Amino acid sequence: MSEAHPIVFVVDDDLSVLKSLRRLLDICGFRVGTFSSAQEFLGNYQYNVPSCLVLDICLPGLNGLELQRTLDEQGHPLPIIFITGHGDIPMSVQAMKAGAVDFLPKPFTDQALLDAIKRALDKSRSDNAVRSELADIRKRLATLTPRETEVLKHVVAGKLNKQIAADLGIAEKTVKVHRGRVMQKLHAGSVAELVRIAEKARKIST
Amino acid sequence: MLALQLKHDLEHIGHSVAGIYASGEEALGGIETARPDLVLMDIKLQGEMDGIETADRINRQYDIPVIYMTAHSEESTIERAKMTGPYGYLLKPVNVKELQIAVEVSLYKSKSDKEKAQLTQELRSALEKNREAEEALRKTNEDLEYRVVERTKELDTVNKELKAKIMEIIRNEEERKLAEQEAENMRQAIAHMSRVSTLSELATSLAHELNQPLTAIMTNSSAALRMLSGKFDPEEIREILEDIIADDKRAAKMIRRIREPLKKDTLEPRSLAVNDLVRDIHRLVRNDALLARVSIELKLADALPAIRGDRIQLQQVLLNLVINALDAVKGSASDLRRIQINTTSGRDGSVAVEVSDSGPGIPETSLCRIFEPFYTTKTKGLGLGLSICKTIIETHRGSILAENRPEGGARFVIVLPAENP
Repeated sequence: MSEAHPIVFVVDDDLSVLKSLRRLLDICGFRVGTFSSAQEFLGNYQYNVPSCLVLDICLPGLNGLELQRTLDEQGHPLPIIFITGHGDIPMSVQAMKAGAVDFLPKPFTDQALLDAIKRALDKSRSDNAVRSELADIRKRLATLTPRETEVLKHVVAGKLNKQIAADLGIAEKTVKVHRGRVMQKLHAGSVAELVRIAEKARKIST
Repeated sequence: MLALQLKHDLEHIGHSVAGIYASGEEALGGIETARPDLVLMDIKLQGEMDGIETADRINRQYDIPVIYMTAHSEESTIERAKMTGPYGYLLKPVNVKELQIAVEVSLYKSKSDKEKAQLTQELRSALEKNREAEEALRKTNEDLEYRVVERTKELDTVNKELKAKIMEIIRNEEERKLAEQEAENMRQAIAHMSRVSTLSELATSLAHELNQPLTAIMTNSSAALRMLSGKFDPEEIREILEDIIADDKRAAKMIRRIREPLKKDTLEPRSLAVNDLVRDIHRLVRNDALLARVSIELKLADALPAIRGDRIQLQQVLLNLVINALDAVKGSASDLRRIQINTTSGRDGSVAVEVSDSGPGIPETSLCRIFEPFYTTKTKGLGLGLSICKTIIETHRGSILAENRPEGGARFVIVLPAENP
């Protein structure tokens, strides 16, 4: 537990189930946040530490699938483990398609739950890593001048310096200077790396 | 002079003379005013008319008797005079005696003629009245007959209309009854289906609900076990165990609830014919059976005693058994997919229904547990069907048993007591 202490959120409207899950996850060393409704959860959860959500599908008010969609729309996708009393296959398919980590029919063993939580937290960590890398790239891209940005676009499109110079109406030598600065600012060791970074950047902007 | 002598004679014998005239014209004028009882008429007169002609006029205009008094005795004159219907004919010279007799006779005759005429007239008018009365009567009769005929016709028409109306009412009534019967059948089928589906929904929601306490129990137990393998606070373990007991109680309560709809107080007992119940169910499953190529054979005993029970619940039991049988034979070759439903009467007046199938039968190890709640050999299903059947049959003071037939396949036998043993 050297890293930021991971948090497991549990949302279930059965208070008895909620209490037992808090107890189990507590003993297993997780920080636990329990909520009896989706609305209550939305007002209280954190997303800057490794975390996952153990979510009952059948909830009064906003149900589990709707909460999953809401989190996606808010740009804070959280790895979700669905739990349900119904062996409802269409719902589980829908949940998995929407990116759920797992789907556990009640009653489940503690091991099944802990395994699922482990996978969910791993996903959370890698998601967070990707997210921070993207944030880093975004920061670096912001340091480029307008002209450097234009040159980057042409490079990524696979154009040669000569073509870029013609397109932009500048000297080929100038293009080379811009290109060098872009590589430096974006910490790219090669054109291939530059393209990879630019690709990630494109994903951010779309 | 003769006339004066005559007047004298007449007055002598007691008559008065109203007038003496020389011509027919004068005579007619006198008669008009005096209206005598008798006219003595000479044939030969002064003026245009002779006596006969004048007498003829008198006859026509007045009802006054005329006696001719003349010297003539020629045949032709007498003949002419006769035609006027005189009361007498005196030849001159006339003596008083003759005159008296002629006058008296004529007066008497005239009087009697008048009376006769009056009588005749009265008789005639009486006859006429009678005829009129008869006519009126006849008319009345005819009218009456006509009216009777008319009235009869009218009555006939009304009668026919009435009959038509009554027939229509009867027809409508029959149609209404038919429609009602159909609606009743429909309602029962729906009630039945909804009961079955409600039960299966109930079972599904029960299963869902049961999963909640089961999840809490399992999670709590796991947590406790994990605690026990490290340092632990016995107070915390106690708390967990108390939660487990509470959840267990919660689960038991849920299970009790599903059996409540089947308790005695919800029964609607009626007199029922078991054969009808079997036919109802046969109708319900016939299509499913056809689609699954399963033949269902009914062997229903005649003159079964009626039983007393809740139609819907007993239909539900039968439906359950038949659906189980359908499921059992579905795996067999299509020419071996047979279900037989028999009804028989027992020696003690009870009624038995047997549902036999040509399926694989019931595994020996399952036979004794097959009526337990939540015990099932099906991959789908909750194992509630037969346990509910058993509950229903027992609330009807009957029994249900399952066995394997020596020739293969399973047989379920329901025995229900007769309504009036």
